[in-house]
Amino acid sequence: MDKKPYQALLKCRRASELSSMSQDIRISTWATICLHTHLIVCGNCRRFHKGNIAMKRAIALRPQDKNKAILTEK
Amino acid sequence: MAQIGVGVNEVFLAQMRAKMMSMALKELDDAHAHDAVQEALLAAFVHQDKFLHQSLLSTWLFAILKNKIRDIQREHARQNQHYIDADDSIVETMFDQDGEWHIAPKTWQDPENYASSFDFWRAFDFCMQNLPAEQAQAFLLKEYIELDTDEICVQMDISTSYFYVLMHRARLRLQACLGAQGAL
Repeated sequence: MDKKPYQALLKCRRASELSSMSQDIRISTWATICLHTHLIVCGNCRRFHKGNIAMKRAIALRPQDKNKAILTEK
Repeated sequence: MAQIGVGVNEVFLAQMRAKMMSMALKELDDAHAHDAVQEALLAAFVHQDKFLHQSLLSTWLFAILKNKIRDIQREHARQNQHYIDADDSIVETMFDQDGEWHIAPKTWQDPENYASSFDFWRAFDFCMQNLPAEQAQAFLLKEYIELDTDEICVQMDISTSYFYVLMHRARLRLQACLGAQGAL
């Protein structure tokens, strides 16, 4: 991943993109460092990031019968 | 309705209705065709004083129906436009010009609490249904069906980078919606 756009200091908008992406793929080491450095100093992004992790976990734990409803509706 | 012209009775109305439905169905889906016919009949009833006696009643009704169909189609086009705009604006809604949070994310509790909560899933499904279609599809395929990113991109015929854009928007929307619903 290109280092230049990060410069170790992320804007919250970019941090939220990386947070979301990190849920879907293994992001590069540099991107991980940038994201987590930002999370240390930014409460809002920390909440969003924890929210993404919690959402994934909650969906994985969701009872199956309730799962079916949403899949047939869509 | 019985006041419109002479010879208007329930049999005539039922026949007209059927003909109007078959015309509306050529342009619209079932529910909207039904609405269009209903609205055309209502408009005819309300504006019966404008009915020109020299034109046949059926001609007049079909003219109204055509306008109603066009209204509904225009409304569809407008909503779809709105859909695309809304889709693109979530990032601008959540962040200000400097890329800082405009609407602060809410704190989540332990996911186990949510998993067993009926209220949480009701709010969650509501929020899912309010996602733009592409975002909902990408999110469902990824998080529920647990397909690989590559497979999803092939299925949806989108690029990998657009997939990440969709997932980012979906997560922003879902978190904001769940917060607004008081589900967190």
